[in-house]
Amino acid sequence: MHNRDVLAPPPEVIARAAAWLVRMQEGKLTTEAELQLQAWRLENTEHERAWRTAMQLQEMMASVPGGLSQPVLSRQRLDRRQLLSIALLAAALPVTWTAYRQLPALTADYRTATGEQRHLTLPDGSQLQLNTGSLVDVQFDAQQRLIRLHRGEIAIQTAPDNLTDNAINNLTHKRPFIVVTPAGNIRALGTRFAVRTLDADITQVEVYEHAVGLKPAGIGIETRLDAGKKALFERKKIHFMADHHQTAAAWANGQIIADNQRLGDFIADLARYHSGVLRCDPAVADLRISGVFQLKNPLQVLTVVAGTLPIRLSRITDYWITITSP
Amino acid sequence: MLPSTDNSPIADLYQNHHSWLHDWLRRRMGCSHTAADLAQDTFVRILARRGEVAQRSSQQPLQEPRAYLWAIAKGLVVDHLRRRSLEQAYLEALANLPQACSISPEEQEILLQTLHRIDALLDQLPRQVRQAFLLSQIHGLTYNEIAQQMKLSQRTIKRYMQQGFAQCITAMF
Repeated sequence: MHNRDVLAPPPEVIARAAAWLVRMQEGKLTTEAELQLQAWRLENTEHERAWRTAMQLQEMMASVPGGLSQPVLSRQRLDRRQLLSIALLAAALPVTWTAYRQLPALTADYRTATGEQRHLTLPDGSQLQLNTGSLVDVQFDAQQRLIRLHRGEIAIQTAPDNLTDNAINNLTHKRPFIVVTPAGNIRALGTRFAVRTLDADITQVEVYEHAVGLKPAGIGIETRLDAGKKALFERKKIHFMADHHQTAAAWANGQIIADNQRLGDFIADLARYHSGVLRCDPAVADLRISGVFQLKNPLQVLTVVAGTLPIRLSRITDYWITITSP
Repeated sequence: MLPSTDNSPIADLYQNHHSWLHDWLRRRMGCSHTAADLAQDTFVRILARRGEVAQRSSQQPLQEPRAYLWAIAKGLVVDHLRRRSLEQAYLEALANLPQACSISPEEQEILLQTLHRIDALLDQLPRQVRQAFLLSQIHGLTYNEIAQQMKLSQRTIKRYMQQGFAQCITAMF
């Protein structure tokens, strides 16, 4: 990635690329803005070079799991002067840095980049899977097992809790297992389920085994949701959806399943796994699609779909793909 | 190991001051191994700049050869300490990951190298810019959340982010 022989593009070009990154992070680009960005990139090879490096920067940042990058990069940083004064001072160095980190971590953060999935075993033996573009905190203490879902989607298979720990007076008890989302909480009732934040205010829950208790943030009572059920909820309302017949989240098995689904919806779903722009022209969005596809390679899924439906893939780069009528 | 003909000013430096530098570094770093490595690296740097050294010493012999050596060694010491503090934090972070979330040794090495690179990028940023950048890129906070946490306006945060991105992109070329 270091191209030492090659000069960087001029500062004003890099500033533009940086400004685009800022805009993209503020929220999804409008179609018009996307076209502007595309036009800018095509205008000049220097623009394209700056943009590619900007994408490499983003990929590099996202490539380290949050559980590692957060504690490491946020560690107490000493500047050059402080480092030198320590070097000049004494021999016993490492203590200063490590002492404050010796405390056991009570919370851990995990995140996945676009297209990435992770499988974790939690301290109690429960299984936690993170789907693409997700961010969670795991907070386990003597009273409860808490998972904070900030964004994205997770699947959980809880383990029976038998916490016996001398440190907390030989207590043996069952700690509740709770997923916290901005719209409200989901309490596991011995179970397998998936939770997704559709946006900041709406949470989707799908139960595959046993049941969960839903407690929207603005309602005091818990509502039971059994296996085979699916619901969306907001802070003050629960919407029950059509029953499903799945025994696990398809994505957790690395699949994306379409059952007579609108192409537009299917592409929107697939776009979650593709880092870049993936658009479906409204002219073909109402075509129907069925099939089981492997999520590992979204681009390959597109190629397969293009082979079965009357559509055309316009691939400007792998980053930028549009689906149109042929 | 240094040929004495065309590198003679450097050979002189090496012969007269290498053990002094090594000794100095050993006392500061508390480790003979590290000191030996750093002393060696210092001379490697000087070799890379031999043109400059030769030119300078042809005009007038190095007035303060030890000050010159130390000026170069200092940069290496800072770099070394920075890498060490990162590696220490990395090992602890690895140890704190849930047990089953195992990462193969190869992956661990790749992640460590990536972290070193990101760390070097972050290091060149002004403190406030770096903090905003960390909160956004590594902790996943929105600009609004960062503005609240840092008690600054969203406009300022956007400006910091723009600056941070631009500096990092430039440094990657």
